[in-house]
Amino acid sequence: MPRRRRVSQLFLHTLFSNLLNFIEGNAIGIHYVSNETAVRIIYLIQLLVEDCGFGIDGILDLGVGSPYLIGALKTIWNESIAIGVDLPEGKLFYIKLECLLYLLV
Amino acid sequence: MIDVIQAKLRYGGGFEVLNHVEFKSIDLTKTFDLTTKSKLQQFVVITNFIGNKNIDENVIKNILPESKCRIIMFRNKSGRFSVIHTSWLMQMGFTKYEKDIMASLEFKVNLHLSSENFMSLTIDSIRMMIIA
Repeated sequence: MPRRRRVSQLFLHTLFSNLLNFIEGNAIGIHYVSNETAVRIIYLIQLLVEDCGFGIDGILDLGVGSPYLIGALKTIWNESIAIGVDLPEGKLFYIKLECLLYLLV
Repeated sequence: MIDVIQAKLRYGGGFEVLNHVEFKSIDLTKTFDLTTKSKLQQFVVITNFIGNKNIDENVIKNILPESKCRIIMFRNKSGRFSVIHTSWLMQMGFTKYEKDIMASLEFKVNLHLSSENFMSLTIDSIRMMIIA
């Protein structure tokens, strides 16, 4: 693909994503779980594991994005199987575009 | 995104622990084939912070029944997590954790056209459903 065309596609992709995020009332950009939230999640899971007495042998992170959360969870429960799943390239963008068209029509 | 992660790991970027994590690209908006479905049903903890209703619904309908899942978390986008989805989860034996967890989801703007990255913070909440 010519570089100019690729750059313009990326630009349009970013522009539309940001516009859709803005319409949905979100901040602009790609979201991912912060370190603080990852720590909070780990703490709560540990509490539940202690209270309920089940083992963590598998962790699934849907919409992995930047893999901070799955990395943090795998660090704590390092003997468990961990999988990070994300949507195929561009799929989330089209989901959001559908939402925008729905709002406009 | 998965391609980017795998490429980074292949060339030695990222933490060592991430080499032991399997990264997969799956269309979560469609029904899964049997192999994928049975694989996804083996997990005790599931985190789903995409915040898309169709994906939430697909996960609840297709992964959770007959799965080993004990803890599942959803993104409660501006307090709009579906009441129907909560009731479906409760019918499956899940209970809602005392209160929603206030979460900070960081965001990153990367235009790809320049090397500038802008970081900031936004607040959203996480709804945690558990089988005790």
